[in-house]
Amino acid sequence: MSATTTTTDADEPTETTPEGEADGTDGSTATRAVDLNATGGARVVRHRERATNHWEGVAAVTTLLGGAGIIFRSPALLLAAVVGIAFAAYAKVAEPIPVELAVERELSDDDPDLGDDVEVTVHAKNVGESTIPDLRLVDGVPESLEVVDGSARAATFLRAGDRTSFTYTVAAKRGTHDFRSLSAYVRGFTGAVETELDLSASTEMVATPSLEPTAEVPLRQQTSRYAGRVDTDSGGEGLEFYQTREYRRGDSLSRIDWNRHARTGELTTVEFREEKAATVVCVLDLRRGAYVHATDDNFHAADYGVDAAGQVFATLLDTGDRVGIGALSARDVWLAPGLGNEHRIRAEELFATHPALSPERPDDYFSLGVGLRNLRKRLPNDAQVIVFSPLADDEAAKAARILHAHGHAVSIVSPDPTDGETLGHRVARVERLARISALREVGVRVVDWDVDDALATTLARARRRWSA
Amino acid sequence: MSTATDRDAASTASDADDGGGGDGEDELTGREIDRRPTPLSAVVALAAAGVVAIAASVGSTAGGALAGVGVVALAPAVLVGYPRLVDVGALALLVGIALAGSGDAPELWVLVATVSAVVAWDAGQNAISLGEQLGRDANTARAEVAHSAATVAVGSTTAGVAYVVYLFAGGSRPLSGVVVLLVAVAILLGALR
Repeated sequence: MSATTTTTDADEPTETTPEGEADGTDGSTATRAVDLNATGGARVVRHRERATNHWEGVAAVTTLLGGAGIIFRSPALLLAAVVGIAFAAYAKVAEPIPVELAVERELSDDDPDLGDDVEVTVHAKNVGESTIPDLRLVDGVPESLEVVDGSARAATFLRAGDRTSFTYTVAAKRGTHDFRSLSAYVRGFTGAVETELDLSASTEMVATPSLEPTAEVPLRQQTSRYAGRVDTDSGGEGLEFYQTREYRRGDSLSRIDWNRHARTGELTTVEFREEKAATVVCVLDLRRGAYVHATDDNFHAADYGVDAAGQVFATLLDTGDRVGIGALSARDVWLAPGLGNEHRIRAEELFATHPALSPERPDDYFSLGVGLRNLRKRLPNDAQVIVFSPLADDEAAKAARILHAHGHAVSIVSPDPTDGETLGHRVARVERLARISALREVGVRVVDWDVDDALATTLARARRRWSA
Repeated sequence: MSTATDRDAASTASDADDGGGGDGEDELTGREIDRRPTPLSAVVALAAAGVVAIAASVGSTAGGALAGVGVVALAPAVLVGYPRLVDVGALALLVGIALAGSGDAPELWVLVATVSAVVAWDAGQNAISLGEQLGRDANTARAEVAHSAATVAVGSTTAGVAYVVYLFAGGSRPLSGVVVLLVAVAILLGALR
């Protein structure tokens, strides 16, 4: 065993270093050393042997050629019949081979952002005594993940002490993904008997929305009484000139326009535009209807919405606004508006673990009326609302209108799930655009976000349009 | 000649781990696993079948033609993946060999043709089984080479030994001697199990 140990050790740097370098650039953490020597054989969860019947029928060679040989009195054919017998014997002597495998899975990044490509490398080592002539490995990719490049399966010939590895790429989706087991199908040279093993090899990948600030989020003018960065339509303390007005008793001396007083003898007071902080609640659309996607897209519109909400949340927190999280969902999702690091951590936890934020489409029935009532009860009166919804059905638009009608300034960030590929998509696109213009007419701001563009670009464009 | 259980197990194995979850209407774009046979073994199967056709046509034109039919049947079978058609193609190859051998084909050619026919059939079935279990995109070359090399080794060793024995002993013996030899081997085989 010492000989194999040295070979593995020698292999080690060549196998892991390139990945380590690749990872180093994006600062990921997950280049664990692959040490298959220490583990011994992986724990076998399930073990089954079966005949593959691969050689069933090879006796036909003997029967056919031998028979023809006798009929035609041909020595050549009788001789050829021997070959058939040999193969029949070959298939008969096949026995399941003892298998001992050490397996390990490695992720290029076990804490990726939404949509990141994560390279998964599976290492297997034959720690048994005998050669495995036909080792077929099928990695247990979590159902929620999509293999986008390479294949999560491989077959090889593995001598005792040798190791093999294969790599494939998955697109990270939000949530916690557990790679549970690895299936191995082992055949001898004949392939007549197959040993089926499920090896336990657990790896976890946690993909949380990046709570990374994006471009400044355009906010409405509904503000709280705290100082902040939202320009309001009222004069007072601030930086930008707003208006002059007649002097009133009690105005600060420093605010009196003395030049004007010198010129005309009147006392006037200069007012500046007040800048206030906003209270914002990000409302995620997590109803069934939000789990829609473009024809060739790996992600639901709701996924993009949640990701965008994470970014908007972080941005608003950085600009000193009070920000909370709510949702249109059958489950209870609520984080009251707040400030500071602790609040950020609570939000991160919610984004990472809340079951309602799953990438799987929910099956529960959601009543818009009840859901909205519960949401409104919790919304602070001065809160403005940013809804993250694809607006793929009328319910979402209705929710926005109701919130708007109850005095909350509503903006919608709407990831566009439609494309022109099918007739259905084209119809849905027209309906969605109609919904958006109807919402704009009643005074709801809608950011129509083509998910191929960065959120920051789209927000910047919207901001320019609205400030003009 | 078949591998029915092969395929059953393969499909259950693959069901468990295909990506892209969700219910039918909600299916996100998943890359379908290409379940066609693996190319390397398919090429090996076709090449071996080609050898059969050439060797059979040495003995008789009819045998060569029938073996050619076998190749034609085998081609779509191992490229697209019809296990039954592999069996049919291999059977056509065998009948071609029988026709060639009933003529005056040299013994060595018949032996080579027989081994090649078995290799073609084995590689074809293996390609299909690998394709269904792992898919065409998986890296399977080493396993395929090992499997086919073992089959070729077993076949050529047997053929070689049989031919040498035949040259030194069988040439002048009456045909019944070879038949008795065959029966003896068959009994031995029965005892082996």
